[in-house]
Amino acid sequence: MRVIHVARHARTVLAAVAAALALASCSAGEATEPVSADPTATPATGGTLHIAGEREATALNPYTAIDNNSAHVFAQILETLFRTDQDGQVVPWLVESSEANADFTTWTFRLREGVTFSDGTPMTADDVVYSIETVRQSEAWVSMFAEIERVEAASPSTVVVTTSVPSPALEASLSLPFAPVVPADLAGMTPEEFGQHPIGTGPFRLESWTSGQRITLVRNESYWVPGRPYLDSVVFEAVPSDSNRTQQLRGGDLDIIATPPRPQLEALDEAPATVVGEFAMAFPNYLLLNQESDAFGDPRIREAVDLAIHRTNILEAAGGGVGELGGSFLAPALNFHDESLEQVERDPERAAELLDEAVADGAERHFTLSVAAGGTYANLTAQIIQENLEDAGFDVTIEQLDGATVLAEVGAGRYDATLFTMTSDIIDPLEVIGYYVDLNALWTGGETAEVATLLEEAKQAVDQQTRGDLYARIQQIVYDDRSLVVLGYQPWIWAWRADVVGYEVPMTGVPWLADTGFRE
Amino acid sequence: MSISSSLSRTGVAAWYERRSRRRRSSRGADASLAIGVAIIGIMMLAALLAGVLSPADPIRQDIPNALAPPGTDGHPLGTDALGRDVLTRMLYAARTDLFVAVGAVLLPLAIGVAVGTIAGYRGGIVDRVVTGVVNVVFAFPVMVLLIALVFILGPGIPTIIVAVTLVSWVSYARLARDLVRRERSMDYVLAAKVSGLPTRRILGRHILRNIIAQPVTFAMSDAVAIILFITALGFLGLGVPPPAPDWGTMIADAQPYFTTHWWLAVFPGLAICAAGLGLSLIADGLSQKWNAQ
Repeated sequence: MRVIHVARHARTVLAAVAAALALASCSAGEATEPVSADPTATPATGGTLHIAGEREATALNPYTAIDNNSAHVFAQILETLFRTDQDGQVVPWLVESSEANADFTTWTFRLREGVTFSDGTPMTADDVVYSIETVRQSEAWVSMFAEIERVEAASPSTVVVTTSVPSPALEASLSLPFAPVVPADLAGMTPEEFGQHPIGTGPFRLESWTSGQRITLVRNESYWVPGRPYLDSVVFEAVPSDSNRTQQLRGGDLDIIATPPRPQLEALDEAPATVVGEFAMAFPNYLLLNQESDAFGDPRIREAVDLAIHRTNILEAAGGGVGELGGSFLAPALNFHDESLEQVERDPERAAELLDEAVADGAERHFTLSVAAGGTYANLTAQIIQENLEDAGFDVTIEQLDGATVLAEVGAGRYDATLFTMTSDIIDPLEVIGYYVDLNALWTGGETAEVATLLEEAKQAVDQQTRGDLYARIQQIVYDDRSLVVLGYQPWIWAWRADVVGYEVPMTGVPWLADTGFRE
Repeated sequence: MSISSSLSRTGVAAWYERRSRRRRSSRGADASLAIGVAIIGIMMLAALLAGVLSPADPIRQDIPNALAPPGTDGHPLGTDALGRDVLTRMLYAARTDLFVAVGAVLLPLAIGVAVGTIAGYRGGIVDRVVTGVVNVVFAFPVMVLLIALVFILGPGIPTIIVAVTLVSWVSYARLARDLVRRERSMDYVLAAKVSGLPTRRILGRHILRNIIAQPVTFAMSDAVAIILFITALGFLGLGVPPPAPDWGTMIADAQPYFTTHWWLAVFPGLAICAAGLGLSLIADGLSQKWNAQ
């Protein structure tokens, strides 16, 4: 275990005054005694934690806010029936136990006793029924829960879910952070009001939301897990520039930050006051090739692109050496990720041949790579791809647009190639494959019909082996289609002050702050 | 103002003071002009001779040698995140930036002065229409308008020149119009009119010669603003498209490396400062010289 020396955090006014006095009396200016940090230490109770990501939450209503920044906040307030833990296991959370019948079409959930909402009312089966009914009818998640037929309260503490087809992955689906348990009828509020004043069973409750500045959560005194949370309050801030976030972490204004810039990871890790954490390998990086554009209709052109790209260079230069290579479009953090599917072996000569053949048959050498302006990873990756492909005989124009414009153009299919990433909110790949199918192979016009059929079979496959085989076939189809050119995978990266302990991020990327606190 | 200082402005003392100040300022003007011209001259020369001064390729990547510090063999100013030589990129960037700055100053200067001169001389409905258009363009927040134009036209050097021209000709037009209105009632203009000279000749030969100093001086300081604007666009990812180098994009790309690889931002930053200083000194020298005359 590495021993880190950490300057003790002056958290209260009294402590700050004491530190200032100590500083004044100490000519060398070393006011604070070095403390060796211990990652396994238990946190002390109390303290206010400042955590910052790139963007502010849009709303705290889980059924309308579909962005991860909102989930980061409301996941501390609203809890789900099941959770994905650090090891990637789906564990019961607000349910005591769950049971399915032999063909996995009827699930019986026995709810945990003694769970109350932050307004003091106990959680009942009616609340759970309302919550599942709402999420399965919400626009964003309707296809993920399409197989649910009926949700009924069998008793005040038992909920029975009936599905039209075998649904062995229902527990994983219900671990979706966007499917938490809310009070029935949103406790009389409209969805907009609930988005401003959410009520849940989680370790924290909302205290205030100053739009554009910060969201403050305070401890839910009636939280059902004894001794949790450790923190008195959590302040979520949005600092769009990763360099600024890092500076504020160094200065002690922030305690935890999301995605510090790659070039600074080493320095942050070596500095005594800060720690870098890499969590689940959950980000796949794709180069999307639009088969419906003039540029990529010919499969030989797509193969040429795939063969010409120098993935190790991208990982080194753009990814700062952090990440992995592989061939599957499913991230390694997901269940059923096919490890045997290796990254494409680079062969620029073969790429040039394929391109020449295709061009002789009327294909084009030129295409435009559209990327969002301002991102370091995208900027460097785009330039490496440009050089690799131009060496193989392509003619590549990089078009840097504002992020929202890129999304709009790509979503409308008006692009040749772009860089894209897609993360999963559950451990089972059914969510991301569902996106792939619903979004026209991520707007590339790639193969979806066969994938859709296999996905339906896999979702219903009770036997894990069968399920794995079906998912492997889907990964092979996408691999061979080469519309999603997999460049590599990235982990979730966070950095925090060395006096923060118990900070973990599961593969969903949504942090869980009930176990987080400051060292004594 | 104190009594003593107001007293000193009267009589012989004031005459002496004015005369010596004018001499001092004239010497100062020569010095600024010389230093400014020298700085910009050297930069332009370096930009033109980029291929000779540095044999390296400004866009060829060399990832195994990425982020080499200054002084590394063959890379006096180090390499960037893709292993490209920083010095070479700076030299080629000077081409882009100085070319765009000159282009984006000359076009609005020509258009603005022409429109302003005609409006100021003709007066009446022409003047009212031009003044109206100028006021409308002035009322827009410049940066927002420029960025919107870059979005519509797509990033690139021609776009930057067109966008800057569309926005900044109004400054020259307003300046020229006001100067011409003052000038048009002067005796020499009236004399030229009476002697039957055609309007084109009066404007071109007589009035323009007398008013052109101010717009040109303004253009020099405007060039500084344009270099900073290209820098800002590069910073927003809307400047010169990659992989062609420009100083602003180089600094923008260096942002995540500020604390760990300082050379990526510092050298192009110094280049921008030097170009800004050179142009400012020229503008300063010119304006002092012409004021003294």
